[in-house]
This record gives sequence, structure tokens and C-alpha cells, in this order.
Amino acid sequence: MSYLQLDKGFPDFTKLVLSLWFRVPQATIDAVMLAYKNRPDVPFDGIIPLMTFGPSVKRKRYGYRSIVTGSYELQHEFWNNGSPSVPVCAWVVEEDYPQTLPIVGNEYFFTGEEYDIEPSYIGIDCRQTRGEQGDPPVPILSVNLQTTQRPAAFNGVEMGVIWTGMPSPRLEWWPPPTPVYGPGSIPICTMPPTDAEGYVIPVRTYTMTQHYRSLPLVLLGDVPEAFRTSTDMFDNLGNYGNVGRSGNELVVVPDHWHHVILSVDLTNPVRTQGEEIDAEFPPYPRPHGGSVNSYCKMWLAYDDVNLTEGKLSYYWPTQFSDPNALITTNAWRAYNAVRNKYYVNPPAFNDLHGNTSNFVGADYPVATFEMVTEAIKASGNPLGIPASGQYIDHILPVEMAELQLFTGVTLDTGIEANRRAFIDKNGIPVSPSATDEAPPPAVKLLGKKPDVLLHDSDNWIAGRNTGAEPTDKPGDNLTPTGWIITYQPGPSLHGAQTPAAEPAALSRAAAD
Amino acid sequence: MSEIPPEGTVERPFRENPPRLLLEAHWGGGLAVHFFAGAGPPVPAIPPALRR
Repeated sequence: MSYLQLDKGFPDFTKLVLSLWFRVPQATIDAVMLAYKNRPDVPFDGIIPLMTFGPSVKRKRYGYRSIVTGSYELQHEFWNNGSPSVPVCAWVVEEDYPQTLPIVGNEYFFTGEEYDIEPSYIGIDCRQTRGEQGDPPVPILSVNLQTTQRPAAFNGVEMGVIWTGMPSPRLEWWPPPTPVYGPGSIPICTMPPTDAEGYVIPVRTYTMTQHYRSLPLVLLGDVPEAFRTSTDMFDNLGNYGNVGRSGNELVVVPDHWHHVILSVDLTNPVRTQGEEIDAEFPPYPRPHGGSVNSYCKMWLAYDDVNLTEGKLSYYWPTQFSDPNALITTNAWRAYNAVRNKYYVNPPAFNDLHGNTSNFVGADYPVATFEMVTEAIKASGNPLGIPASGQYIDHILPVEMAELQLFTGVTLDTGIEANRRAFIDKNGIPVSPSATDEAPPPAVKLLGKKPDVLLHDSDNWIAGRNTGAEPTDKPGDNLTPTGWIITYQPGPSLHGAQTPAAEPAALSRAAAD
Repeated sequence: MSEIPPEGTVERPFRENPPRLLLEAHWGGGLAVHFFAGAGPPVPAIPPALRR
């Protein structure tokens, strides 16, 4: 059958430890890749859910348009080489000039539409979320802890420029002046003076003034903040910002058991600041971003390998001192935003049209991001495995085992002894059951019972939560919908991975 | 000679004499489960005697 649902969810958390075994058939990955159409407004497009929880959140749709911000006068002149009807050897105003033209800028804007995006989930992201443009997509494990918060403060990203000041009149000519020769190859007329490189020496000076508008509120306020492992950087305009960055190492091998231990500590506020540089040609890619003043943490062991830094999350701030640091999506963008002093007020320059241009950039601030982190909401909305009923159309065949979920505690997965409470050195699960002699290793290690424990296929099939306070009350257990069947081979990293023979019930059910 | 087991003893007759589909569904038992797509195929009918 097809999914388990715990209607009341589980406690909201700032700290979490989760251990889960999962296995994704090749056919499931093929199906979701085939169906993927890059539709941001369809939750789980390109993502195979393993677990969903918390409220669904809305994203505001935005567009991009040209706007008129003012007008300027444009002057066209030519160097008269010999026409006797007008002054010879002088600049002459072309017919129909000067003209008054609009100053056109561009802006992002909210269309007024909103659409649902995914709630918090653990899943397999089958979109192209790592590698280079044109590489085949690789399925990767993806964690999305979705807040309902928008940043408390954010400004200064160098996105979007509105021109509101232009020279008046601004001089242009076309084509550039060329000599005309009379008899004996003698130029009829002297040419206007040029500099050593042949450019016309400026004949006038003007000032261009650049103004910045607070576009980040549109661009970055479209979606609540999230703590993630893989990037969410694609937008309404078809930009897929992650391409070109190697991304994390959470590659999911099809038809093979995988084990994940995830832990987070989201108690700290998130505060980041962009970088300030002063260079005409800044190094690209830049080695690091600005500064991280306060951050949260994530620990993740995948197939018994502890992951840190960029392998842990796309949103690890590059070159930051803490290898387990995690910041939210827009905090990461602020961290990587640049205020380039050079382009705020560059030296005056010859614009090659005979003008000396003084460029006055708006003195925009360094990007800053601040968010006081609230608990991730997991109560009051269903926990779904692989997804709740709301996302039933996106549930695909997967295998799972041995879910343990603890709120209120953290675990450093870099310490091998900590991992051994969940997975032994041979790569098989450590039983979460108590014995006569000792409590379950994970309970002993973390000092509390799991909020959700699904152990043994019989309990999975019945949705029986044998975690903190097992009860017979229907609301405390998960409700199975459809048919969930046992699966063998059981979870292991190095043991048999494919069934000796497909269970007849499975193939019959698949054919139904 | 009722075949309906007394309360609390469902497990034993269920395991000893499950319906054929459920036997296959419990193929081997163990730790892991398989989820089907969407709502999945309908739950096979369990004889009243074997319902929990």
C-alpha cells in the first residue's frame, strides 16, 4: 500500500536526530526523471518523497518587465567633411535631432499569484542539482527543512539597476567621422582631434547617475526560508542557479540500500553579510563570500560516511571555519552578494562617443541577512511516509526500513561511536529494540526515546509507532493507506541488494 | 469449535494460516517494507477471523 500518515505530526523542533534506511528502484528514478518538467508550481516535480511533514508554504510568482523611469535628450552630430551648404570642417547637428527618448529600466515584480511548494521533506532530488550544464541528472538525497519565516532584514544585493539620470543632451554619432579626400588625395578638411588610440577627444562632459531599487524584497521575498542540503536555486524565469557547482555527495545508487543519519541544531539566529571588494575585474569564481556572524548546524552521515562542508550542503558557507555550518537559502545569497566599490564610483571615462562620462553609482549597502530562527513546524500537519495524502500523486515505489526520529537532541555524526548506535561496522542496522540487559543504543546515547519509531516490517505495515509512548490510541499511530508489503533483502550497505525472486504479490500488484 | 481466536491472540493464527496474498505480502518478513505508487493497490481482503 502506499503511505503512512500520522495526522498530528510530531513535535516542532529546533534540534533533531533522524535515522532511516531507504532503497529506490531504478524504475522509480526513471519514472520521475521522465515526468520532470521543471514546474516550480507543482510540488515534488522531479523529487521522490521519502517523508513529508509540516505546513505547505506558498511561493509568490514574480515576473520581469521594462519600465520607463524618465527621459533624456539625444543629440546626433556629424563631422562635415565638405558639403558646402552647411559649415565645413565642423560638427553639424543631424536632421531630426535632438530627440527626446525614454529612459528604460527593468524591474522584478510580484504578479499577485501564489502557488504551493513543498513542505519539509526528505526525498530524492532527480532534477539536475549537481554537476555541469548538460550533465545527466544524478539522483541525490535531499533534505528540506521548511520554515514559514521570511528574513527579518535583508538589503543591498546588487540585483537590478534603475537608470534615472542621463546626460542631456547626450551626444552620439554614426558613422564615426572619416576623412574625405579632394584632388591630389588631399583631405578636404581637417578631422576632429583624436587621442593616441584614435578615439575622438571628448567634446563634452556629462554625468550618469545610477539608482538602485530594493529588488531583493521581490527576488528574495518570494519564498519562506529553508534549511536545505541541495540547491533550490531555480526560478520562474527558467534560471537554474546550481549548475556549475559540484554540490553535495548524497548520490543515490538505484536498487541499493542507503542509510542516512541526519541531525540539526537550529537554535541560533542566522546572520550573514555580503562581501565588499574594490576591483575593476574581480576574480571569478570568487574564493569565498562575505561573513557569517551567526549560523545553525547540520550533521549528516550517509552510508556511514560523515559529510561536511560542501559535501554536506550546498548552503554551507564556502570556506567558513565550521564544517557543519548551515545557513538558509537567502542567507547564503546575502553571504555571496558583492558590493564592488569600484563600480559604485569608477573613474571618469571616455565613452567613445566624444563624451567624458562621470558615472555616479548609487551607494548601496553591503548585503545583510538576519533571521531569528523559529522551530521547524512538524506538529499540526501530517507526517507522511513516503508522503502525506496531500501529495499522493507524487508517491512512487520505494523501500524503507528502521525509521528513528528524535526531537530535541543533536548528534555529531563525525564521531564513529555515535553512528554505531544506528549502523554497525558491517553496514547493517543496529536494532532499536531494548534487550533485557540494556536500552536501545540510540536511546542510551541520546538520553530519550524516539518520537517516531518504525521498526520491523509488521509495525511499518500497521503504522505502529513504537517510539516514546506506544499506545493503542489511533491518533498516536500512523494510518496506513493502501497496501504496504514486506521487502527483502533487508537493509544493508554491503549485503544482498536485489531480491532472489520478485515476490509474486509485488509483481501482481504492480500489474493491477 | 469456533475458528475466531480469542482477543489478543491474533498473531498466531495469522502467521500460521494467512491468506495466500498476505503470505506473499509477508514474503520472508524482516525489517523492510515496499510502498507502491500513489494510493497503491487495494488492501487484500482479510477474512474476518484474521482481522486485528
